[in-house]
Amino acid sequence: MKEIIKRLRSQSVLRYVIAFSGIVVLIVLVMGGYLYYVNHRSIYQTFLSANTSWLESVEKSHENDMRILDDVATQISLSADIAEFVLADQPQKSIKLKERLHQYITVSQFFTQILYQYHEDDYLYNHSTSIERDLFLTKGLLLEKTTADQLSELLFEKRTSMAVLPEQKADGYVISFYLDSRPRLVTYVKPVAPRYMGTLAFLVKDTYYDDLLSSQQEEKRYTCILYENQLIVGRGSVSVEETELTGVLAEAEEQQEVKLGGEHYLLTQQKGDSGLWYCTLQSMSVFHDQIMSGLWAILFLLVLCSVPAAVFIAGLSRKVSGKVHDINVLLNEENDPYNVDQIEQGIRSLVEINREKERASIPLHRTRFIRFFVRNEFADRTEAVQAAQKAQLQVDCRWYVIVLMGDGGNSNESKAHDRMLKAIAADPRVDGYGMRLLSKNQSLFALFSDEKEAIEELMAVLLHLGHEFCENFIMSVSSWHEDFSEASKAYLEADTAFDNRFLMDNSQILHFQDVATRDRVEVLPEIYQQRLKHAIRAGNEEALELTITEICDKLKRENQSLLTFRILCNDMLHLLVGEVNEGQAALQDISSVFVLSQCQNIHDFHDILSEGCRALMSKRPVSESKKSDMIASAVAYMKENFQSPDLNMTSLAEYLEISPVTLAVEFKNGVGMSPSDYLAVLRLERAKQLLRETTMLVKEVSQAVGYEDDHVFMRRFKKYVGMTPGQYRNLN
Amino acid sequence: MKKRVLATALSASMLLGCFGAVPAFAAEVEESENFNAEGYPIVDEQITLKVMFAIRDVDSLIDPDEMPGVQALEEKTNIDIEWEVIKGSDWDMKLNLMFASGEYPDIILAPNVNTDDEEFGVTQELLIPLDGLTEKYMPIYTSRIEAEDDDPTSGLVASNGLTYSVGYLVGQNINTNQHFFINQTWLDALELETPTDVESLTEVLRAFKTGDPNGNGEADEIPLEMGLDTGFYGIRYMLPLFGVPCDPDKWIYIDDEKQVQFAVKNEGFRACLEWLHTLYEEGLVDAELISQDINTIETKLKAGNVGFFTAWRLIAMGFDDGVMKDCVLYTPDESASLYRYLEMAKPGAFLTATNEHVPESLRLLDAMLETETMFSLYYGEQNTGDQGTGWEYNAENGKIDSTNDGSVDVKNYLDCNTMFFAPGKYLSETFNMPAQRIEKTEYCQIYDEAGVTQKYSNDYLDLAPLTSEQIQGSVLTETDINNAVVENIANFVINGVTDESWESFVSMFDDMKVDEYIKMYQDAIDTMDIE
Repeated sequence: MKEIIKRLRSQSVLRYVIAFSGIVVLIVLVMGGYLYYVNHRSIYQTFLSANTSWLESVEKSHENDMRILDDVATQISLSADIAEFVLADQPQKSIKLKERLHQYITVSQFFTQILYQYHEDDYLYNHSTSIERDLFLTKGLLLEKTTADQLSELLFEKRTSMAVLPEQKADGYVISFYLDSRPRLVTYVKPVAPRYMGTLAFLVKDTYYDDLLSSQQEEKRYTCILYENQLIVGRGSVSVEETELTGVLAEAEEQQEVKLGGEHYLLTQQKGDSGLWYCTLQSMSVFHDQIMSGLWAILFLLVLCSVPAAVFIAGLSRKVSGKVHDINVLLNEENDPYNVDQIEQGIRSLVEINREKERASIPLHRTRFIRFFVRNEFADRTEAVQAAQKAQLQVDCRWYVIVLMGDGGNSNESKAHDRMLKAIAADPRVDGYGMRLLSKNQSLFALFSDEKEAIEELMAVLLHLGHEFCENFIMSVSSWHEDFSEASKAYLEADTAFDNRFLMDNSQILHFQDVATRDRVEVLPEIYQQRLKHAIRAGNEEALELTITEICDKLKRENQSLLTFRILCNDMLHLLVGEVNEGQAALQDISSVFVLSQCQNIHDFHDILSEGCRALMSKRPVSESKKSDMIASAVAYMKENFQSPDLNMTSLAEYLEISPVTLAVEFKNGVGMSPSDYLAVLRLERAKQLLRETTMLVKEVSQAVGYEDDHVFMRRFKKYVGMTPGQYRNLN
Repeated sequence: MKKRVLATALSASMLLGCFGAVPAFAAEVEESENFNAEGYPIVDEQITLKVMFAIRDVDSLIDPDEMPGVQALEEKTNIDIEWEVIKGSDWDMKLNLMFASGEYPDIILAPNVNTDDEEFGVTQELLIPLDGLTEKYMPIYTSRIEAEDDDPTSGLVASNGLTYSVGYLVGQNINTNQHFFINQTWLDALELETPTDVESLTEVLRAFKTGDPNGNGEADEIPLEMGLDTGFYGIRYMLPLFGVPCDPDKWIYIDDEKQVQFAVKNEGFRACLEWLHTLYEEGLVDAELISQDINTIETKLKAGNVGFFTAWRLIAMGFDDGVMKDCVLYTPDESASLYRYLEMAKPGAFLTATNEHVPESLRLLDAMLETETMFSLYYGEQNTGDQGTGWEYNAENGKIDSTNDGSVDVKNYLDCNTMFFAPGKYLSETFNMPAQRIEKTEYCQIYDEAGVTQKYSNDYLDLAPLTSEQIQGSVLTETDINNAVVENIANFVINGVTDESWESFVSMFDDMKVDEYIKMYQDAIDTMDIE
């Protein structure tokens, strides 16, 4: 028992197969039961309606003929001149009456004899003769079940309602002389309304009812006509006890099943207008036979449906159980190879493993997505969105940017990267992911959102995180994009911005739109090189520091391009190498300047350049220091007062308490340019700044930088910059 | 109606010669190899012959195929008979329909109904003339004819001199149909003499009415039982009491001078009606005189309680418990004149024009006339007297005795509807006449000796050589006359006769061309050699 229970409780696929088969069998049985029910009902209804139709047909036909009797009675009642007479008084009317009765006989297919009796007389008439009352009762019409007294009362007494004598043997000369045989007769006795002075008797032969009521032997039917609860006539292939029948009919409904003589019948009855009741009984065995026939058909149908279904189920079960077995074998569960639970467990574990793998692979998918995204490898936006969804990224947003982040190979970079990914994941408004570009030592992020503000806020967070974990953190971002097909372009923008990192303020996010794209290279003015050279030769650290600072400021302020920076680096290197050759320093003293172009930011550039210049200065003699002081003073005075139109070489010489000639020679030797040129550079550089950063008119700019005459200003500006102030402003 | 020429073949030839026609004797018919001209079976391989068979309305028969006599006949002849049984009242209609349909039976067997050979044989040639064929294929039939002194079949000859039928004759040696009978028991009870004339008869009837001759204390006696126009019990058979030898079918008769007379115009006709009116008024005649039919009358006769009536006979009429017990023949006085019955063969069977087995058919009919077969088909099987049917050989004289007492309701034999040809000589040699036949013969002899039977039979009117056109033309006249007579005699019986009413009645026949009608018959009668 336990074993059985255990087996029943086990999750073997065979159990399910058996259960499924059982369900199918149940379904088939239910279907069969339903078909049987429908069939039973249909056949039953047909059985009922067939009986009803049969009875209606009989009733209709017989009632039609009964109406003829009424018509005859009516005609007789309207023919009082030939119907209401006493033979002794008006014998000739008997001729007319017989003629009339003969007409009815001739055309009738219902009754074969018609008898008429006028109650005031002692004679009864048929179509051929008169018959005296006593003669009629003793020799005329002799009925098996009706006495002469009863017949006399029916025919010779006044009556107001129809009487019917049930079918019975008839004899007498009315029968033998006027009918060709001695049939069984049904007699309908009808009063002649409205005066009821006469009575008509219609004799109907048994052959009429043989035709009307008989049915096929196999129908097992009995059809009868009753009147006033008395059986008048019946025909059928089944025998029914009259008393039992009338007893049942009295209580039966129009149609119901009854039991008579131990047999079950369907009884159908209805009343005709004449007052006759029509009844048919059909053995329920006929119905049952029909049911059985239908049942065989249903069984055949079920077998027809079941066999292929069983074959199919068996085959399918075998396949399924085979698969279960194979799966269990694959899952190393050979002890119970049909156990479904084991499959479930195995699959669960596989699913879990797969999920783990999925979870583990999500970063991979995301990384793959980012890679494909920036490479424009998705055919369209939809594909990109679907790929992102697979990577659990929601990228179907209005805006996206590409962010590049750089570090110096600091070990905190990974932590920063992870924190940034978490920050991105935590932001509900922005979705994205980042990947490491190991070759370039960068991190590439793609951020998607419907709100620019959300992306900007997130980027600020990322910048903060970057600065928190990285010493030299740089973050560049592309311009705003909507079209996914511009992802490559966005990457280039971010990359470009990243490359311009030290030309800009690296403490902030480097936006591509802030990186100027110049058509031409803006070389650093010669004066800065001269000043450096002078400061190095003079050993003037202040001038050196000042010049380098101005160079860095200029780079930051003017958003110089990378090419400009490369050229500047090259020029600085060239200058420093030149000073090495002029002095006593060696190249290894300035080795750091060779990495100038790789500076990550302005500070590095400042430091490296300063280091290199100081290295050179330390190898230079001291005598050059006084001259350097004068130049520094001159430079300082000019920087403070260049806006004043009164500042010229004379006023400058006076300030320095030297002659204008000494000023010009010494300045030129120390800086490499004349002090008037240096003053012009100061003024024009300031003019450039004002043109870029203000909306001052050219004339106002001219005056602001010390030129009272704007024409002079414009001319010198064009010579210095290469374009008019207006063009310069428009360009910047 | 059929019209006959009572003459020998030579007379027929002369007669037709007067009309310019030459007798057309039947052509030779082809005999098949299957046919046997002599002996039985008639055919080697069975054939089927269709027979259209007429029975009387009063007959109640089983299916002929089930009758032992028919089965024996079929077995002997090897001919299967397909019967179509038709009641007499339907005969005319069915016959016409049959001929109109074009599908004819092989044989028409109808001795008790009318088949107009003039119309169907002479005019439409739908019947085969049998001249020469009956002599060849019906030896029994022919031998019986030749044995008689007078040819009993001479009445079967049609107007064209050809014979289309095989004759039917039940020789009875009778010369009239109805006789008068009076209740002797009542006469004796009332100590009355047999009346000798109408007056005394009337008195007797009054005594019957009032004297309670049946002794039951009730005046329930029916002095005179009769109907209006009810065949043998109708007024036609009361008229002879008044010297009017009324024909069974027509209202004309042949007087002792061979003159065709209209019965209505005979004084006796009115006298009869007046007498009947008197009887009716006095209740001396059945109150149902006007209304009852033959069946009711016979029922009353079977019950008895009747004083005076007419009937064919008393024995074998079903009157055993009725009038037969009390009544005797009444012979009227010499002023009476009863219809004389001629014992001539009437048409019994015909062959239709589509019959393809003429020799076989005639041999079959002849086989039916073989003595034992004929009597079996007529009375029932031999030695079935215990069933009230049949016949047997008389142990004493070897003749056939009928054991048929008429009691069987449904007969298993063809009865009088079968082929029966028994002329007087043959019948007397073969058959012990039953009591009823002897009774009838005696009645006829008495009446004949009393001189109350007409001199020239009205049957000559049926044998008068009228053309088909004349016959057809007279049918309407006869119908009109009959309707008028029947309708008016009812009125006369009930209301009596006055000169005025009588004159009015008689004058109505002037419009019916009765004179022409009578002249037509007179001319025909005048051409006949009536004996």
